[in-house]
Amino acid sequence: MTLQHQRPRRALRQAVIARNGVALALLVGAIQFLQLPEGLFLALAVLTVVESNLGGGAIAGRERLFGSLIGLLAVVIASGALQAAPQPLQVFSGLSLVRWSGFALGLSSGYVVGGHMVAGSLLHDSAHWWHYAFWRTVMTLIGVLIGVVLSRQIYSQRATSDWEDNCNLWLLAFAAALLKLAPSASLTMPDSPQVFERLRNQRNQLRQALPQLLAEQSVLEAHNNQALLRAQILLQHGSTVLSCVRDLTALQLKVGQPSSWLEALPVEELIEDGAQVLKRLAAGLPLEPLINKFQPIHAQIEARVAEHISQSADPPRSDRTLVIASRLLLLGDALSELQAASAAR
Amino acid sequence: MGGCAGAGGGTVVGGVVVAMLMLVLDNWLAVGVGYMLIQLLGARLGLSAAALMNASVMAVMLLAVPTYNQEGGWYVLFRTLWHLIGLAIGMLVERLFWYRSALERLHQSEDELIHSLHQCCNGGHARSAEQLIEQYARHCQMRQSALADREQNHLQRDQLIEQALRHAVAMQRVPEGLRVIDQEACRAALVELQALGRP
Repeated sequence: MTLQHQRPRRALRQAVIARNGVALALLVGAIQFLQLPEGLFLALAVLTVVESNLGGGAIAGRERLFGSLIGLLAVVIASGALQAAPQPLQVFSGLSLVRWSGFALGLSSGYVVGGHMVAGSLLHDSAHWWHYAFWRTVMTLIGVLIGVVLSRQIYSQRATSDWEDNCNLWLLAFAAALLKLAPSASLTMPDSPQVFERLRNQRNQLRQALPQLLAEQSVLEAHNNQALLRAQILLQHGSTVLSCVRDLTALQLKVGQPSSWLEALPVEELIEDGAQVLKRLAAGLPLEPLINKFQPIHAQIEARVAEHISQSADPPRSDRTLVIASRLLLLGDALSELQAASAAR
Repeated sequence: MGGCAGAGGGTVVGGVVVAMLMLVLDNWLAVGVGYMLIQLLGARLGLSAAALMNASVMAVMLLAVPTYNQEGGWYVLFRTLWHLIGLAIGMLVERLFWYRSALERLHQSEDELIHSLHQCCNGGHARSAEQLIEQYARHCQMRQSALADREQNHLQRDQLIEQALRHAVAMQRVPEGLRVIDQEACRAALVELQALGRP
């Protein structure tokens, strides 16, 4: 990450910490002043939501809320239907119900909150379980709502911005790897497999953050999924470009090409234009001047490959030149898609 | 174990900061000040997000619940101990009843991945390129936690699996006429993998 990126991020993080601290103090003050029943859980729900960016907070809040609701349901069943049963059996049934419901609802951590609800109601507050479980659920609901509003309106730390910053760094990294493949860059050392492993891990982290973008859209504008769609397109075609660059590096593209038909392919042009597209994408610059540049290059490579295959009697075999040609075709195709997606933005 | 360290470490750091803060400031303002101190100190100490969350929860618990507030430092100690005992019991139950070693889970994930790659090569009900990438990413995550010390044989297996996956993904993406090249390369990597056998 560059210093330019780090400064605003650090300043925003500090502002978010101050926002959360002030909000927590005021909320705890208000809870004590109003003597809200089980108000602690309001503060905890707010904390759960505001600790992360808006998308991550929305997911955490949803997990906490659903966890509390299934916990409440489990407590009502365990205490009501199994009133005559011994307490260990009630707790066992409540916890099992929470776990099964958590699986059914696809909760990844919310069932833990449901478990706390069961344990708190049946073990700690068994005499007033209804008061405890009911108010705990209500306070959690209010806390999640306050947390989402706070996270959205004041110093909002958006998952989309975090994702885009990370994605831009990823695009720039493989644009640099792509440029090293150009025949004119023959003196530059090609990237090692470790570089591509790191780029692949970055890609995987970007994929894992997609649910946050979806959750963020759900608390911003339910009908607008542009950010998520763009992220998916960038990931899909960016992954193809990345694997092509990795394969072409391993195939030693710029080391003397033995076949004359391959030498005539517009490799230098494809690489330079491709790197330019990736850099402009990362910088958020318009791409109109480059429109349709890849299609003629792609058509030229495709025609050469078809000509080469038709000249040989056997079906295509795994010779280096054909693998290089297939990766160049893929590269051109993916760059063209990336360019089209950004131009249409 | 990561969760255990996050829970214990975060609770101790948050608890100690807030218990000391309570000596000079014992009202609702202390929650906010404590939270900010924990975040700034935690970032300096390099605490993970999970540990920071546990530390912040301690600030709320110690200052918003009168009973815990009266216990002060003892509450930090007891809560940490109960955390550790609970985690130990949980791990014991898992080990006694549903224990599958990380290596066993890794082998199962590898078998499933190889099965998907075979399906791709044989033109059956194949997964899409994106699904294959996702499956491989999950497998790599599991491998990272299962194999602290990678043996040479594992390294070779990993390379062959990755080679087969690259060609299987490329097969889904390259033009029709060139697909056979990647199909053959994927098949060759799988045959070599089979010949290598499992360590």
